[in-house]
Amino acid sequence: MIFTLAALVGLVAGMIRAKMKANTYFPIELKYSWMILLAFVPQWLVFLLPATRELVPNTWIPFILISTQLILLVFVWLNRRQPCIWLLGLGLMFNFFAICSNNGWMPISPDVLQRLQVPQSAWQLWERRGFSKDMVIPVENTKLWILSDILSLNLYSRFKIAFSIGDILIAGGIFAYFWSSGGSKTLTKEYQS
Amino acid sequence: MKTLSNLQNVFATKVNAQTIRVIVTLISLVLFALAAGAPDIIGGVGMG
Repeated sequence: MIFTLAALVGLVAGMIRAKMKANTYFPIELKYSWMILLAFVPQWLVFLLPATRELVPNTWIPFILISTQLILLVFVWLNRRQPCIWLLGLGLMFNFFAICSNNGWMPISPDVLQRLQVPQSAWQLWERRGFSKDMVIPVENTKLWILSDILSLNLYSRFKIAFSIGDILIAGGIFAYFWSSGGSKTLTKEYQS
Repeated sequence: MKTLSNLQNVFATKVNAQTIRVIVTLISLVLFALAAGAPDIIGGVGMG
């Protein structure tokens, strides 16, 4: 949801920017977009789809998470010349490092869960939190703690979110990508031709 | 009249190309973020 919001806000901001510069808004093309689908589908089956996520053993998660994020790193490298992709890549790398150094799971500490007022019955130390990518790990046992889900937002009682610095960079990268698409004259020329 | 019709076609093609590019880029980047990001949403819908 936060990523969809970042994309929509960026899109609207980019369109306004294009209008102010009398350009036609035309987002910069991403190459090898199919790689995103290749990385997303396994994660969708494992983390989102209720029918399948319950069937996947927790021992598979680290392999799926690391391999799909590796696909995304290759995608970022292939698109490295596109504007603001470096920001998406940096966010991805931060999350990737945090996950790789903690046995294939994104760590979340009991402190963060307590800060979000998540009832203790909803989590257990050294266990996966629900169907998320997160494992509840004490701070003293977390490697690269600074890159884990240390930030929290308690929007209202039924919507709470824990996120990492990498997540902020990814959301910022999406916004910046759409924003930068609204300011390029060369793109307008490319579109007009 | 023919020129006008051609102009209309060109305009329609460009509008479609623009709309398609916007939608494809939007979906691509949202899916990228969902796969690359790792927020833990408690009580919300979806993984990011």
